[in-house]
Amino acid sequence: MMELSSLLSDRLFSSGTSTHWAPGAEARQAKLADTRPPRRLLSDVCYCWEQPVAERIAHLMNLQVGWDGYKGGPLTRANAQIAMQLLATVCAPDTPCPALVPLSSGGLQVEWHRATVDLEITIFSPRRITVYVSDQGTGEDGEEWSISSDFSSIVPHVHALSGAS
Amino acid sequence: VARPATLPDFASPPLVEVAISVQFDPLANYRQVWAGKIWDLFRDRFEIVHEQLPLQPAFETFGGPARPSIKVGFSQAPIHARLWFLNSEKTELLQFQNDRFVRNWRKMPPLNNEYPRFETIIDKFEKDITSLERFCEEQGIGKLAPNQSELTYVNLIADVDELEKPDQLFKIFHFNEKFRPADLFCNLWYEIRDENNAPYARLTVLVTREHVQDKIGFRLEITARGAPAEQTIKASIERLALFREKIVRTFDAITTETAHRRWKKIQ
Repeated sequence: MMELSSLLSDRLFSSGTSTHWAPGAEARQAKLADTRPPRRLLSDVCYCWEQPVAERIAHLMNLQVGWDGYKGGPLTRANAQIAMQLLATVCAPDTPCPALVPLSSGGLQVEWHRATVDLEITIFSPRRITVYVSDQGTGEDGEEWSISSDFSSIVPHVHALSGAS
Repeated sequence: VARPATLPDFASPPLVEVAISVQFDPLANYRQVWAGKIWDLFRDRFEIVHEQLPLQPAFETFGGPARPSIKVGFSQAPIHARLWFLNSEKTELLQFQNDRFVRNWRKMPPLNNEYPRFETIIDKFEKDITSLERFCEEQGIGKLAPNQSELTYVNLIADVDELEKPDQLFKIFHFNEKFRPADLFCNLWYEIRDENNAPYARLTVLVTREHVQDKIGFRLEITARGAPAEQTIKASIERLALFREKIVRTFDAITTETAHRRWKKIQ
């Protein structure tokens, strides 16, 4: 997938040939583009959760309106993008693959349920994300808090999942 | 928006484009049929219209290494075009899609048009996005709730021979005659933090080699992007004014005194 630009001084647009970028029907299918170079070195890190997560997100973006028996809509592009960024930021290569549950509002719940840890991240919108953790440190009732663009408070809880059975 | 008194200033900067952007939550009831009515808001000054593919939503996030993630593409839901509204000289551009509004200014060498300065561009941007907000609310298209502000300055540097070497232009490179690259591509990221040392925006510096007129020169692109303090136009404009200050100070800090003399640094 080619990255689009909003700048006039990018060569793509400065030639005056920009009108051929009109949207086409082929662009309407949900796609996930890996813009990184293909793995070629043994020392390149492989994130085992990434591919199944990407496929699930593409599926959720293609849900039909009413998928939940009511008026539920597909996962929005903005929420899908923020979910991928969040996971890329907080997950280690060996983090277990999360369950991804759609919300009827176009949001997404990212969940891990292990024997000793429950971690749920709910993305209502890119500016409105809540985190719920229940583990030995929090007690049975767990802890819940809100985040926006800084995901650092989730990192220790996600890393703890790798060792939790 | 007033210019900070101590901000570095250049009489002849190599600036060729400025892009001011506010991204907002998708307008819930926007349909493509509204495109013409939205053009009508700006048509007296922007009489040329083009359609483009929409830009991807972009968010600055923090808390871990800036590892590239898989990019999300389009869904089966109908996608709306990004509209370009250009002025007759093609030096000014408004861009609208259902989650973003952008204003660009660019220098056109044949016209040799003067940079109107940030204060002028941001005032026009605020006026236009306020018109858009009012229209969307009046027509029930949706509430314009900004979630990211973004400012980009593009400089094209095509100078005489004495400035052709990158370390004579930029303080961020130190090469010697035995170890001088034939080409370069440099991308640097900096976090912008609040008074509590929490990151809320990111500044990106991109240096590449590029054809500038009939020579090979340098393209220096500096972008600042991050969430406004509140989801309002006022807060977005305040963020953009802060970003301008960060960008200009970064430009001043990473370029050499030799280059500053050529660009007629005033203070």
